[in-house]
Amino acid sequence: MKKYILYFLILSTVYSCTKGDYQNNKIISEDDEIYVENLLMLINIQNSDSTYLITHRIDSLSIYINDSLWGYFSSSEIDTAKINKEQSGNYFFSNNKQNYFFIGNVLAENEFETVGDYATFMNAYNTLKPGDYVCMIESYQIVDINGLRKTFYPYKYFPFSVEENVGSMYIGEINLNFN
Amino acid sequence: MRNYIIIGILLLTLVSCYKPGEISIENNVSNATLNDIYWGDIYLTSDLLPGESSNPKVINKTTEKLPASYRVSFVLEANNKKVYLETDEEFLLDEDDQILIVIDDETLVVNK
Repeated sequence: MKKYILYFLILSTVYSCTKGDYQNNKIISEDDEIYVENLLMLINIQNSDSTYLITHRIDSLSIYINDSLWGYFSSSEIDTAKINKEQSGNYFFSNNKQNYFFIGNVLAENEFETVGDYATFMNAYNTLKPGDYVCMIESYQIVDINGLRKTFYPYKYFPFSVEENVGSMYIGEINLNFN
Repeated sequence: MRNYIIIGILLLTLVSCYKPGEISIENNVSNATLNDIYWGDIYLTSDLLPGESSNPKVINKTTEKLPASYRVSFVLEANNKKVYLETDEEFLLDEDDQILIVIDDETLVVNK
């Protein structure tokens, strides 16, 4: 009887190690380590008169890590109606510092339909291993009071370090100059 | 006795009429490998690099009763990432049939 139980256990083990292992409904990494997938940052935009830009959202912030494009991101929206501000040119500014929150994460998992959709996503999937990096903000877009979208190019560089086994990382508060 | 001989001949004829089918698979996906490829529950091959084709897998009557139609499942691997996928389409294999299944960027898949 013991022999049969032993055979059964061996067969169960062998069978469980076949096709079923990959029946996973998400993309998985071959590495066991946790690498940074989300970069968190606060960004404020300062005018030459030291006032801060007020807008409901900053769009298309392009982030490069060590000269490789990490992605294009938009900030969380804020309700500018509740902020004391004054118009200067085609934009609003405030004497109080206004930060905009960004989550620079890996490409969002969209609706994938084809093998090519998956392959493209997986090849573009960025993660950061522990170490030192240089981040560069190349450009961002703002919509002015007339509804016109304008792109600004600050080319701001700043270094940061990634620690071990963290999935998200706060880079810090970044000050960009307007214009 | 004669009846047995006739039945035997008929059986032999039936068996000899059965011709197996063959399935090959080709990976035409850009920058990704296909691993652990199955047609239904029938294992076809392990790793296929981009542009590579598998040797024909003979499907005989002990493996599967033909004609049969199944989806192809595989593990897509790229940039140290893996995902399990199944084709939307089922691929029909008949007796004495030889089919080449090409998986490319446009192949519709589901991730179950």
